[in-house]
Amino acid sequence: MKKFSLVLLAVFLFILGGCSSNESGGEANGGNGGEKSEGSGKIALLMADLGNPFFHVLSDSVVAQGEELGYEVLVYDGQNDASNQPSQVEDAIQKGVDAIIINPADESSTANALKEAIAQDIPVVTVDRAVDVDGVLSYLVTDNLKGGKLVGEWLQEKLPEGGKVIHIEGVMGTAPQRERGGGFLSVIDPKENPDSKFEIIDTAVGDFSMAPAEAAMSDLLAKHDDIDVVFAQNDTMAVGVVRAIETAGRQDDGIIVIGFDGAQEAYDLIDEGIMAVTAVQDFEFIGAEAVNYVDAYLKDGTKPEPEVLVDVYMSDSK
Amino acid sequence: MEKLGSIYNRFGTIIVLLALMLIVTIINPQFLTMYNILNIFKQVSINGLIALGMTFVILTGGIDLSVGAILGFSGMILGLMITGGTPDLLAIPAVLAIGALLGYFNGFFISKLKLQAFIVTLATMTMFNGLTLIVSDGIPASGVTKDAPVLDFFSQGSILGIPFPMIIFVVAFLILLILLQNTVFGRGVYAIGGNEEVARLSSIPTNRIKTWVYVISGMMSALAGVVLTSRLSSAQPTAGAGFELDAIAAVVIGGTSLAGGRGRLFGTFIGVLIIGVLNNGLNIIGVSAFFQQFIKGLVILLAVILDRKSAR
Repeated sequence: MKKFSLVLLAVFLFILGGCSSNESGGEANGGNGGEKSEGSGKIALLMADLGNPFFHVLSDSVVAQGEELGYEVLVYDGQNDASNQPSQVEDAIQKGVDAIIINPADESSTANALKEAIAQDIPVVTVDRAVDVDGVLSYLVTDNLKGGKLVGEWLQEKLPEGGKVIHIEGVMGTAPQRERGGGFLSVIDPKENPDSKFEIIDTAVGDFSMAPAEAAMSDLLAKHDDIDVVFAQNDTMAVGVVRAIETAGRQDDGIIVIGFDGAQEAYDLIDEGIMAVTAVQDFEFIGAEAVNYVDAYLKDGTKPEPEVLVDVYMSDSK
Repeated sequence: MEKLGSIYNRFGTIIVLLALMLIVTIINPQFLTMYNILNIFKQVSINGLIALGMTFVILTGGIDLSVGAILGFSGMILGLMITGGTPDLLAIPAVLAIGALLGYFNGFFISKLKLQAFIVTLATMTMFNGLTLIVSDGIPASGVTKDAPVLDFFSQGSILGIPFPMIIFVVAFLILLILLQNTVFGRGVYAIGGNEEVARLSSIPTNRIKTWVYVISGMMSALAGVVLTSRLSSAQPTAGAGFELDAIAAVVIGGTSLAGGRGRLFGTFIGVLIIGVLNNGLNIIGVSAFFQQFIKGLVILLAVILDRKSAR
C-alpha cells in the first residue's frame, strides 16, 4: 500500500510539473519579442478567469493595444480562484513590470499585493471589477445600469404599443443583476415609469446560467399563453430561453428575446432570427482604453478619471 | 393509532407531494394542466436520474458529491464529440462509459483505500470540474442536437404522447428497483449500510459492492448529462454545478437515512417529484425570487421532519 501511494505521489508530481511548464508557455505568448530596447515597457495583465470565453475578448484587446504601443504584455490566468491572484501580482512586481492591468476575481484578495505595487509607483488599472485599495490609477467597468435602461428604451421603440414582458434575473444580489434589472425596470415597469405601456407579467431567476433559465422559461410558457417579450440579463440565459420556446413549439409566437453581453451564441441565434438583440458590453474598448491610460501615465503622468463607466450598445449583428 | 402511524410511515412523502400539488392548484389552476404535468416530468428527469444513483450510494452509508461534475464533464465530452463529427449513436454510449469510469475512480479510492466518501468525492468533484474546463477551454459547445436526431430525441422526443425523458426516468427507476429489491447485490447494499463489519464477516463482497454503487451513480449522472445536453442543445462548461444538492435533498426527503442501511428507491422517486413540483409551482404561482429559496428550503425541512416523525 505504501509503495502504491508513493507511485501515486510521483505521478501526481509529474502531472504538476507538466501543468506548470504549460503555464509559463502561456505567459510568453503575450510578448512581442522584446526587440525595442528603449521605452518598451512591460505590462502585466491579470485575468480572473480565462476559462470564460467572453473574457478572452478583453485579454486579446489588451494584448493587441499593448503591442500596438510597443509594450510586452505578460498574461496571467487566475483560473477563477481569487487566491491565485496575489502571488501573481507579486510575481509581476518581481519581474519589474511598468504597469499592472487587473481583472480581479474579487474585491479584496489582491488589495495587499496591489498596495505594494502602488507603493513602488507602478500604475494599476482594474477592469470590470474594483479592488478595495487606495491609489488605483483607474477603474473601468461596463455601465450596467445604463445598459439596462438602454434595453428598455430599445424595447419602447420596438413596441410603441407596449406588451407583456417576462424578466429573467441573474444571480440575486450581484451587482450586474441589480443594475441591469434596475435600469430595465426603471423604463419598462409601470410601477416605476407611469408612462410605460408594458406589463411585467412574471419574473424568474435564471442564475446567469442556461439550465435554470431554460427550466424557469418552460414553467412560464406553461403558465402564459400570451408573451410578447423576454429580457434575460445575460446571453447564456437568453439562449436557454430560446431553447425553451423551441421545445414548447412556440417559436412562431413572435416572442422578442433580448439578451445582454454580446456573446457568440447570442449572435448565432440572432442570425437564425430566433433572438432579437443583445446589449453588448464593450470589452474591446475597455481593454484598449486600459492600455491607453497606462501609456499616458507612463509617458507624461496624465491621470484618467478614477472610475470610468463604459457605455453599452444594442447590437443584432457581430 | 398504531395503524394510523404505519399508514403515515408508508405514505408520508406521498401526502406531502399531494398537499403541495393541491396548494399550488388552488392558487393557480394552470398548474394542473396536462401540459404542465408533462413539463414537470421532463424537468425532474435530470435530477431524478442522479438521485436514483445517489440512493444506492447513500444506502451504503456513503455520499457522492461529484455527480454534478460528472454530469458536466460527460455533457461536455458529448457536445465536443458530436460537434466534432462523431455520430450520436456512438457518442452517447461512449459518454455513459466515461461516467461509469469516473464513478469507478471514486469507488476505488473509497473502497480499496478506505478513504471517506465525502472527502474523496469532494476532491474528484473539483478534479472533474477542472477536466471539463481543460477539454472545453471554457467554451460552450452549441447547436449540439442540430445534426444529432438520436440525441435530440432524448429531450424532445415522445412515445405515445409521453415525453422520452420521463420514460427514461421511469424505466431507470424500475430497473434499479429490481436491482435493489430482488438481487444479492441489492441485499448487499442494505447490509453494508446497516453494519459494514457484520456484512463483511457474512462474506458479502463489501469492497466490490461499494465500488459498484459509485459506478451506478457515475453512470446515472452521465445519463442525466446526456438528457441535459439534449434539452439545452448545448454543453455548458459549468453545467451541473450544485446539482448534487438537489439530488441529496430528493433522496433524504424520500426517507433514506444519510447513515445508510434504511430507505427506499420509491421514496426517492417521490422526493424527486416533490422538488420538481416545488420548483415549478413557485414559478407558476409567481412567488417573488427572494422568497423562492426560503420557501424551497422550508418545504425540504418540513418534509424531513414529517418523515423522521413517522419513522419512529
